[in-house]
This record gives sequence, C-alpha cells and structure tokens, in this order.
Amino acid sequence: MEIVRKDTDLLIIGGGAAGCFAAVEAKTQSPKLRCLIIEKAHIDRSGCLAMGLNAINAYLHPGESPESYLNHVKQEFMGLVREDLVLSIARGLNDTVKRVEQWGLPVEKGTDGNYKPRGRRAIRIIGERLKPILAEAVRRHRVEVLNRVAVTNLILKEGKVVGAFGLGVRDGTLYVIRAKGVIIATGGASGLYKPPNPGSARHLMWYCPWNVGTGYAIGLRAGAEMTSFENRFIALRVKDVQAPTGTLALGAGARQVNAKGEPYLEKYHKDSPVKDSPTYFRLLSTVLENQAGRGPCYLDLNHLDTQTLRQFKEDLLNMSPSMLLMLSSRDNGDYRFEITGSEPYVVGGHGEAGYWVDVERRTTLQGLYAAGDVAGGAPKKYVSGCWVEGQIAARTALKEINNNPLPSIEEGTVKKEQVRVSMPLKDRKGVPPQEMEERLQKIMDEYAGGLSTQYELNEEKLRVGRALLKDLKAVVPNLEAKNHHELVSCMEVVDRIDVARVVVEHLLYRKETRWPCSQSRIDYPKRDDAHWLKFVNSVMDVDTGEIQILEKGLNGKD
Amino acid sequence: MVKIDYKVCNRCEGAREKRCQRICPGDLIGVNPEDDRPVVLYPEDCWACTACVKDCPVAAITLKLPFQVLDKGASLRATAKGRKTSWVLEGTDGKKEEFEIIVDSRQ
Repeated sequence: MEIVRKDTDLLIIGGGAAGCFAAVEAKTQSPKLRCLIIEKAHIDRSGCLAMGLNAINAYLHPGESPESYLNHVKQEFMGLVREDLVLSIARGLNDTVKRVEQWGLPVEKGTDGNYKPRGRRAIRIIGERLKPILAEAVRRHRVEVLNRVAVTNLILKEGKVVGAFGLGVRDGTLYVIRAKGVIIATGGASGLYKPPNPGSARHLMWYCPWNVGTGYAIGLRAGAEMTSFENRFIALRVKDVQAPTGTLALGAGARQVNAKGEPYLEKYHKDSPVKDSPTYFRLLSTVLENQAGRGPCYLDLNHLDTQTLRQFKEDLLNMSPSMLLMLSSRDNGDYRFEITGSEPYVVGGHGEAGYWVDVERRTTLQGLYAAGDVAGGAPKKYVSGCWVEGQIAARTALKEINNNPLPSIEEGTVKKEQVRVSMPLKDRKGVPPQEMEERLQKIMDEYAGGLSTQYELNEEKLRVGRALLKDLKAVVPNLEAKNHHELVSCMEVVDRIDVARVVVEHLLYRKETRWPCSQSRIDYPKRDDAHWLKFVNSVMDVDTGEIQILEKGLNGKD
Repeated sequence: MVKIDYKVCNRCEGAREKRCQRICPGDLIGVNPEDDRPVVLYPEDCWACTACVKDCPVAAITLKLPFQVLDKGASLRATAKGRKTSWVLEGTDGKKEEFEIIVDSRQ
C-alpha cells in the first residue's frame, strides 16, 4: 500500500453542497489559503446532487422571516430542534440561493421578478446540472480537489484534529493529509437498513447509496459527540423509483388518495398526534391507511392536461429520471402512482441526526467543524441550508487557523491505519463486503424498525438488535476484498456498522414516541414532553468502542 | 440499469479514462484492457442517477429500470451540450418523446 503525504491549511472532507460552499467561502475570504477538498467520487457528480434537483425547499419568500422559518421547523419536529442553529441557517438562505443563481442555476421567476413560490418555503429550479455548477465555482476559486479519495479516519494529536487519512478508491493509496483546520461535510447515511428491493434494484433508493455515514463514523471513532441518531429520516416517495412526492403534490397538484380513490389525509387530521407536522402526518397517514386495508395509496395525476404533464416530465428529468420511465410505461392512461415510505436513513439535512455543533459549527473536537447533512440539530435545512452551514463552518475555521507549523504525525499512527485499512486485502477470511452489508441491513430491518416492521420499535427487539450488531462488529476482521473497489466497500460497511450501533443505542434510550414512523416506540406510544423534550446525544469510547449516552437540554446545554 | 451501446461508443477516442468511468458517483464503470471498451462492472449497484448517460459525448448510454420493478422496456438517453441537456425518451411502443432543457443560465 503506497503512502502519499499532503499538507494543506484547510481540509474539507466531502465535495457536496456544504463542502463546495465552504471551499468557495474560504477562498473568497482568504485567496492565499491552501484549501483542499477530498471527494470519494468525482466532484462534478457526487453525492446527493448527482441526479439533479428540481426545487429548493428552504427559502424565505417575501413576508417570511428567520423567526417564521424557525417556527415552522420547530412545529414540524415536535418542538425539539436547536433554535440557534436553525436561525443561523434561515438568516443565510436567500443569499446563498442568489449566489448559486449567479453561478448559472436557472430559477423560475414570477412576473414581479421574485422567485416564484412552489409551496410556502420552496422555489422551482432547473437543477439538473446543479452539481457541475457548484464544482465549477470550486474550480474558479482555485480550490485543490482530490477526486476518488475516501476518508477513512481523522488524525488526532493531543486531542486536536490535525488531518485525515484517505483511501485512493482505485489504487488503494493511503493518503496522510495534515491540515490546520478540518471541515467535515460528507453527508449522512444510507444502506443501514434493508432497502425496499433486492438484487439488481437494491440501489433504487432515496438517498445516495454511496453516502454511507463515513463522516459520522470517523467522528465517533475519534470521540466526537453526536446528537439525535434516533431521529431517522423516512421519505414518502413514489414506490420503487423513489421520485419525490413534492414534485407530484406541490409541482403538479396531485391528490393523495387510497385504493378506493378517497382522499384520506383529512380523516386522520383531527386525532393525529402529528397534525401540525405535514411531513410526518402525510407519512403516518399513509402507513395507517395501508394497515387499515385501504392500500395501496396513490398520488393521483389523472387531472393533468397535456401542457402541465409536459412540464411535470421536465421536472422529473431534472431530479428523478427513473420516474419518467415508469410514467411513460403507463399505456392504460391511469396516472396514479403508488406512494410508500422509504427505508430509514440517518441524515442531518432532512432529519436532525449528526454532529453536535455550536452555532459557529464547531464540533466537540478541537479543529473539526461540521456542515450539511453530517451536522445535527437543525432539520429541514435541505440544500440551501447546507450551503449556509458550509459558509459558517468556513468562516469559523478561518478565524481559528493559526500560523503554527503543522504537527508531525507519528509513524505508529500511520502504520496502525495502514494495517486497519489494508487488512481485507491481505488477511482474507472469506466474507465479502456485500454479505456483511446484507447482514447489517437484515438486523436493522428486523430489530431496529425497518420497512418489514413498518418502522415500529420496542425495547426487547432493540436489545436483540444491539446484541446482534455487537456480534457482527466482532466478525469485521473476516472481511475480504478481492480488489480496491471491494476494499472501499469493506471500509463502507465497517462505517455503517459503527453508525448503526449508535442508532440502536439512541432508539433504546428515548422512551417515548416523538416522531411517528421515524421513532415509533410501541412500548412508549405517546409523546412525553414533560420528560423527553431534550436531546439524546452520544459519545463512543475511542479505546473500547462502548457508546455512552448523554442528555442535553433544549437550549443546547446540559 | 445503464447499458452501453458499443456500436455507438467511440471509447472516448482512446482516452485513458472514459467519460462514463470518470463521472460515475459509485465508481461502477471500468475499462476492458483488451478492447478499450468501458464496462459496467457492478451493474447491480447502479443508482439510476444518469450521470454517465448525460456525460457520454456520443449518447451511447441508455437508462432502463430493472425488470423486477418495471417489466416494460421504456428507456432514456441524453446529451449534455453547452447550456442544454437534451433527452430522448423511448416508450414501450417505440414512440419517442424529446426534451431540450436549459440547465445553465449563463450566456
């Protein structure tokens, strides 16, 4: 395994929405700064935005304010959000959107010249090429980009983050990167739970299948504090193709109906514990309607005229081309599309799982800042919120980067990581990464509230899940990689197991049901504000791997 | 789920790294050293994101859904050129529908 050493001032791990914005902000403020992005894929089409995007769901239209935005997010998440973080995001949303528009993103405007609202807090964009547009801004600002390098661990010295290890995904090179400050922006985690389809369709999922939670895992292994991993995100999507229901419902005015063609949302509304949270309400109502024997549930597009249908198709091409294949295969003229909940994910952009950060986006580890899906406590930030967080993290990092020389990294530290990373290539013990991944997803699906149990959780099953994950972790040394591609898959499943263990501990700890489906405890079915209006946080012991749970108050403090 | 049409593929005129290989977010595409063709090495891991479909300079790559989720053969092809991305959707009946979308507003 070849070793390549690199030094930089600011290292950004992950070249997605948050990472690109952090890099541009850093180079705008400090053009002479050395700034390096390491990116597991190619920055032009990596991560969540690879497919494109047709709406920005966090924007303040005239009449809205950061405070009204906060109220909305608080209401949607049952009162448990970090107000300081959400407000700091809301204050920056419109500026970042304007900036990306100037970089070339087409945004739909009304006759008054303002962005045309698509729903109360959203705008319609032609974002098929959003990722290449962000990547080009990064290049214009002379940021160095190392494509096809996957981070494997942080490098710490005397408790401070001083760099990171990366694995060249095609040649197995081990990168040892020293930096004065590190921003983590890797995104959240897919693939913890069994996906809806097996085999050749296993990656038809909502979230990018290569966002595997590595950002969380490297933080956990370095002792960083995480928050709200029990707030899993479940997307209500068009079945199998995972097309966004917002495009259908908000963009094309589709009605949500049951098998008999009846709109069903209204009948649940009066008694629903989540009636004030449209996102959870739509998902829960759909699950309940299916349980009551009135499924499948659909979004009904039969009312669309030819012109609207054409625009709808274009919206799909910009974000979810698979859906167009499904649509065009309807030769019977029935434009109802079945909707279901996805398997659970762990993300900080739609949900609120991630690093516990302060308002300046400092993590609990000195020298490490977090932004985007990997940062917790501030849900519904979506892409524009990730941009804002990238900016904030870069500003903080710049203030705290000093001119001290980079510390030396002991050979023992490098050797240890080299041994860990190369083990599946050298000491082959017969378990391919795909099988390890399937085992993990089966455990999570059956015992930690996956699709097959309709997301429901109880103490005993979670305890079984905890024990099985412990056993699975113990056989990680049996992983075998036949080539460098599989070696990356090995590292990914190791990271997923670490994240999954923390998810289970969080789910065990919160003894109430705060976010139905997302966190439904059958044994504690009610929301309990008197005891649980607080954050569940966790820290992994860097030596033993034991997970310790901490509680934090609504104000973000003890 | 993506298929490379080797009658159309020009091997990126001998470039060492092919465009589809360069762009795939999952690093699923490699090159066969014997004939220099790009090959989808891990087809079952495809996300159907169409990055390769759009980036292919000669529109040699098509997207189809896995048979298990759609047993009808609609397919999608695309070309990203300048400010526009053009798409050709071919339905099960062979009927084609074309789209041309301005995806970059810079002049």
